[in-house]
Amino acid sequence: MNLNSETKFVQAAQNGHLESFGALYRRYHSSMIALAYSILADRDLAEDAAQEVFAIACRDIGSLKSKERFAAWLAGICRNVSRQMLRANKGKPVAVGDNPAAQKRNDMEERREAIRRAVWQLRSAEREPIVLRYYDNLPYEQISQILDISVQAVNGRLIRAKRKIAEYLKRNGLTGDDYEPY
Amino acid sequence: MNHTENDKWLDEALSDAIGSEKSRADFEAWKQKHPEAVEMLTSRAARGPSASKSPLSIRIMIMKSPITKLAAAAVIIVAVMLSINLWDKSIPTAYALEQTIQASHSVRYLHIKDFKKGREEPKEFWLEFNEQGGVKNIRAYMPEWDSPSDGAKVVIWQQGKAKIWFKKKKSLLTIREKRFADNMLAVVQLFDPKLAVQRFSEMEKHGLAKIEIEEPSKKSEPITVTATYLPETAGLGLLSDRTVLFVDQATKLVISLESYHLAEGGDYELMGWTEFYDYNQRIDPAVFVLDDLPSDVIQIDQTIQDIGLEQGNLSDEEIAVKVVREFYEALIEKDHAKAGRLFEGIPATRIEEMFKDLKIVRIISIGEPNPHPSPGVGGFMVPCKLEIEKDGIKSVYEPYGPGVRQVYGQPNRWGIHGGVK
Repeated sequence: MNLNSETKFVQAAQNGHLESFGALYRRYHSSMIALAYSILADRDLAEDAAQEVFAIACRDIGSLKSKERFAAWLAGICRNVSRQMLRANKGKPVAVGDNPAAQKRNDMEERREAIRRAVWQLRSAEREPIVLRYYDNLPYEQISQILDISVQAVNGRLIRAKRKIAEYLKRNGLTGDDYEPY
Repeated sequence: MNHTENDKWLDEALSDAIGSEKSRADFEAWKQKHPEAVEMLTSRAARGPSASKSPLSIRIMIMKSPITKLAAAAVIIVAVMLSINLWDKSIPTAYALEQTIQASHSVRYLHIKDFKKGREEPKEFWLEFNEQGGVKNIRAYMPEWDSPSDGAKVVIWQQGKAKIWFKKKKSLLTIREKRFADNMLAVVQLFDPKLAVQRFSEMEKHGLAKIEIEEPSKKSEPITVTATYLPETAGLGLLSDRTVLFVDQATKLVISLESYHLAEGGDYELMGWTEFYDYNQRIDPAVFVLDDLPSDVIQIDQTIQDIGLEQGNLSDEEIAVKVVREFYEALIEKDHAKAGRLFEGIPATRIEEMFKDLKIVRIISIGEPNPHPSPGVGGFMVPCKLEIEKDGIKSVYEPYGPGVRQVYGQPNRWGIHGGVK
């Protein structure tokens, strides 16, 4: 689906064509979960948030003026919904690694936790592209539409974020030298 | 470690740590959960387009009007002056899609054969509609090629209850399950000619399809309506890239429908075709009853008994393991009635017969459930090791499966399904 066809779906959905909204839902479902996950740090909550995002979008799509900015508009709803959920859950994101069940984790899970901690210590402008990219291997172009920044800016943020993650991991004794993919 | 290697391990590590098994974007389920939002969006259709009419919708207006050739020419000239890009082949005809929609409203009975290229045996449907045009009764015959593991099936759907006769498995399953009913109706809707025509109209209205109509001067020849979907409609879940309807000139009813796929070279290749018979010829009510079953068919009615185990607070994986454990424990204790309840509701006598050659001594181990490898089946395969005894000799047996999944129509219950060997 290119931007031109997406605009057609948005227009059709604004005119009440439910299946066109369905096409948009299928296109952005996973990325909205990822964006919510970057804020909430909880996959289940993120899935709930994404459901609510599309409910709001479905009700309010008529208010969207710039059809070509649908993704960015949807992302704005997603951030609001996720922050509301955070407030409802009283406070900060579910702290990565705070789970008592983590005590028994094996090496592999410990390493995953360390990487997640490294991601969630980033500021949101860097965390969002990282989670969008690695949650479901989203292409740069789609990340740029969702974050409403250029593809070059996406690339720049990803490079900076990965550098910070690598530094964080190095400080915590984890480097690529001992990394073996499972 | 150089920069590229550094990037590679970090990419892999990030994918591993925050990557997700792609969660299914189930729009149908979302619609069910958000009826108010759906209602708000669809009500916008009734209020009319928010923006100016597309060239396509203008064309519909032209088609609807009983205009003369002269008037049509005038409209086209005005359209050109307004830079409206009408298609080259756009010739105003007397026929309009609405005529077929109108004619189809009075259809109460219909017999459909759906052929797939390269398959001899068609799927076959007998449909009875209610006065509002909704589906009342369905009989469907699904050939073996549609689902080789199930084999050929006869399905009767009435009042929210489905009876499925698995011919190869010699079993009749009765279920009341909304998802099954929705799937069945969705299949039927793909072939329902009035819905196909409505879909054409909707798609054209929203600029997502190009419709070409040819109306031969010979009245004995059918009108052809060709709907070519724009490439970007791939996300709409349509099953073809082009659909051609053949419409009877006298009755305005659809005689047949052809589905085409856009091949890499840019040509449209025929994938299959659907033939419509016996419009409004009353179907004998006996067609919607399954009373001619062979005597060796096992009848399992899941609408009158609880199948499997209730999930309670257990995770999906935990309940899958529990089901398998209790199933084999029941077999060890020769509690065939319980084993049957855990395995789709199969009668105790049949369970006894199925497992008569398998003397299980004990369960050695039950492993971690793995997602079922066949797409669409759902649930898990739960590997396990059993100690069995044959002719006084004990050995270790690792059965295929067993498959465990949620029970159709019984929310929060999990049971064994086919594939235990």
